Amino acid sequence: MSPLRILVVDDEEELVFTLAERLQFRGFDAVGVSSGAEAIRASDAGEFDVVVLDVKMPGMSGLETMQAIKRSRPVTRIILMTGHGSLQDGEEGLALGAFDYLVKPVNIDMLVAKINAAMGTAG
Amino acid sequence: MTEDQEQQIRRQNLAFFGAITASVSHELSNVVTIINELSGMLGDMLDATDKGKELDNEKLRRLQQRLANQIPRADGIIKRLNRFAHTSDQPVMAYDANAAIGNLIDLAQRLASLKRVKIEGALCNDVASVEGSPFMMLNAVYLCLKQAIESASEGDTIAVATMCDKTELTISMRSSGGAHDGNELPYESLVSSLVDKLGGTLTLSSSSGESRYAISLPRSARK
Repeated sequence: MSPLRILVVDDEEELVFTLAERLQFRGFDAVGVSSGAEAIRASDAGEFDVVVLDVKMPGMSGLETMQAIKRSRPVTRIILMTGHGSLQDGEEGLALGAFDYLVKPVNIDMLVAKINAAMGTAG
Repeated sequence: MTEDQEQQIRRQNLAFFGAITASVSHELSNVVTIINELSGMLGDMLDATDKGKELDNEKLRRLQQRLANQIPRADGIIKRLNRFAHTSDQPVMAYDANAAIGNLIDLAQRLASLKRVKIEGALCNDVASVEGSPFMMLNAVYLCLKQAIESASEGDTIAVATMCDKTELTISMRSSGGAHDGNELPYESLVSSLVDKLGGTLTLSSSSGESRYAISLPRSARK
């Protein structure tokens, strides 16, 4: 079985590449990009099972990015990452079609559990 | 000044302090999140060695350096917050307006960057010693910056400059968005009240699609 394809999106490059590497270490085929525009390009170019997406990013926000990805790839599962002060963004994301959200700093085991849960519900 | 205006200023002072500390807490949270992932990566490497994989010393050194890089970043954020917090020490004090505005520009960059807008400072070289409330002065400048950021387009630059002569300090801000069309801007009455309270004047103008905000404040004779 081929590994799940994960796209990690956050404007903090150090974070995005480390998180992608840690997901690779856990057997996922993970790549990282650092803006909403790059995420949409990456999603259009290749099918990702799950997109792990920061809510607060310069320019195009996480929620706008999610909606654009969902328009062209409705089956892609989105897991949002929010800050402590932005829980309402997470809730808004759920209402807009995100699978789930996590509060930063993210616990890697919890993220892995949510990725697996997202794919479990993908049918 | 009416009691209503005084109350508005008190509310705005609190809102300003809240906006800056919330923004700084986001910046610090980003650093903590990165440290969380890097330390997690170290844990992953150690777990791998427990399972028989050889420890990659070069990778370990790079990780250590990446962790170390977060220390000056966090230190800079904390220093900026500390300098800002001390501007509310006393209602009236002698302060260097250039240093205070330079610090505010650094603090406001995050707000600007969320809209992909840049703030550039061209502050006069002189120490701009002013007597008054640095906190209220920064509050007025912040509201102008906020107005400029909200009306700017992606890629715009907001220029902040100070000019000083013997009696007056002028803080001017120029932005390419939201040209002033004669209608009152959303924060105009608040800025006006703050500047009044500081004994200064506020001038708004626009030309060729640019908005200009100028705050002139009396300057102490002390240097």
